[in-house]
Parts: sequence; structure tokens; C-alpha cells
Amino acid sequence: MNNADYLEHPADIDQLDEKILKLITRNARIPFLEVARECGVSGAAIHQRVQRLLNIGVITGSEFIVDPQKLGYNTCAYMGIYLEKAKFHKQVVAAMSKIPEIVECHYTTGQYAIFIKIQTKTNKHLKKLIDEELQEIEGIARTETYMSLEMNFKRQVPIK
Amino acid sequence: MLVSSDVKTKKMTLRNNLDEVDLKILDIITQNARIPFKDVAREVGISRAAVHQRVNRMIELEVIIGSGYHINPNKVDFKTCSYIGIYLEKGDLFTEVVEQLKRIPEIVECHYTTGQYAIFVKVYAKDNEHLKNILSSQVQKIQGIASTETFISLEQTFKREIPVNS
Repeated sequence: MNNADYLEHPADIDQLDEKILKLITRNARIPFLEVARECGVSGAAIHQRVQRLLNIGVITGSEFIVDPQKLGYNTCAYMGIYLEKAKFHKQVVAAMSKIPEIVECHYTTGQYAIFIKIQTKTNKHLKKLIDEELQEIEGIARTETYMSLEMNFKRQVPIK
Repeated sequence: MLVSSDVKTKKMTLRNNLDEVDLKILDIITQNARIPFKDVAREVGISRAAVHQRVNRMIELEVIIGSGYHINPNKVDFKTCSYIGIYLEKGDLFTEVVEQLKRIPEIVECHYTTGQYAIFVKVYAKDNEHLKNILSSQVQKIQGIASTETFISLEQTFKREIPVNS
């Protein structure tokens, strides 16, 4: 078996890359000239470095971060999913990726087979989603829901 | 006249003063933060200055709370992703415990939840040993935490943003 399938090596990044990452993960629209000035290199070098970081998959895109509540998404919940049989995993994940309110999906150890994060507008919306969409998915035995009453913080992984 | 403006305000407060154009802009810039505003303007059908103005307004309203590049944690050597459910000795210790958790940079998300756990966090560690260290010498040392339960994510199957336009 080719071990490249399961051994993922950390990307080859140097201190300058780390400095750039620190700046642009905090503010995606920061002018590259400003990054350049702070790092003491040319603007073109920053462009090149960022492009390289994108190419090797260290950064996977950029986003404006929105407050879900301001968009009317007031209910956030985590849900542990038990499957009828472990082999249903693939088809269940495929069915769940079609539900846009599910924003995160993990294959986990522990009591649950799958662990997901859901954002809905109201509790009623969540109930409807569980009733009419999730529990219709073939292979799901049952679910356990943890409602988040408050998100205390959310941030990116630390760059040393 | 009065009636129609009433209806309008009511409709706008529902979405926190956002109209269709705002939502269209959000939909675009939440996918790509570095897209030139002139491209956004073309797509939405308003002027570039208007896009600027609307984005600034949404920042003021705190609809937009920041921007950033997505880092792939695997590539910066954070290979173990896990969720940890935390039991507290007493419910009223919540605020202090969250303050302490915030000091651990590997904890990237923290929620106050219903269900069996009081607090639920997401942690990125370099490997299983690093996770063990974070757990035993940092998290479990925090006063007020009774016990923890860890779910290791073997694979993040997907992760995305909430649907803006719906």
C-alpha cells in the first residue's frame, strides 16, 4: 500500500511564510504592500509567497467572517450520530452534504460515528431539519443533540 | 404612506437591516475575501463605491466581524482535531473556566451547551501526544473542571459557511 495515502507531511514553510500567514489570517484584505513593509521584503515577493501557500494548500481560500445571529441564524447545535451499520458511513455523509445548514462534518472516535455542526434560524427550524431531513437519511439509527447557548470564542489555529 | 414604511421597517428588522443587495454581496465576499470590489459591483449591478459603502455599513452593524485566510491545519502541522466535552464541578464556575480555556491557543472554538456537558470545545493539536499534554497539563489543571470526554475527529469530511442567501 502506498503510504502517501495516509502520511501527510507538513508543508515546507519558513519564518517569512509564518509571518505572512499571521498577518493575512487576521485580515484578508490587508494590502500586500503593508504586509511587505512589515516583513521587510518587496510587494512582489509577498504576492509570490501567498500564491505558493495557496498552491501547496497551506491556505485554502479567504473569507469575510459573518456573525450568524445577525443573519438570522440564532440556533447553533452539535449533533452526534449513531449509524445502523458502520458501512452506511459514506452514503450518510453524502446525503448530509446536501443539507446546507450542516456546516461541519467529522468522522469521530468515541460513542458517535459521525459528529456534525448545524446552524439554523430558530429551534423550530432545527426540529424541522432533524424531523424532515436528517432522520429521513437511510442508515442513521439515532441522533443526540447538544445546543450551543453561546459561542464564547472562535479562532484559527495558532501559528508559532 | 405610514403603513408602507411600517411594513418596510418591520421587514428590515427581521434581517437586521439587510436588503437583497447586501445579502448578495455577503454571499460573494464570504466565499472570497480578496475579490476586487469592482467585480462584486459588476455582479450585483451597483457601483463600486456603493459596494464599499455597504460593506462598511455591514462592518459597523457587526454583521461582518472580520476577515481572514483559511489555514489548512494539517499543513501547518496540526494533525489531531478533536472535540472535548467538559463537566464542571459547579455550574457557576463557568466564566472563570472559559477565561482559562481562552489562554490555551490550541482551543479554537468554545461553546456553552445544553446536554450532558457544560462546555464544549474544539481543539487542534500537533499529534496525539500533544493532545494528551494539552489535556493533562493544561485543561485538566483548570480549577472547576470535574472531568472531560474527548472525541477525536479522524477526518473532517467537510466544513463550510452558513448559507447566506436563503
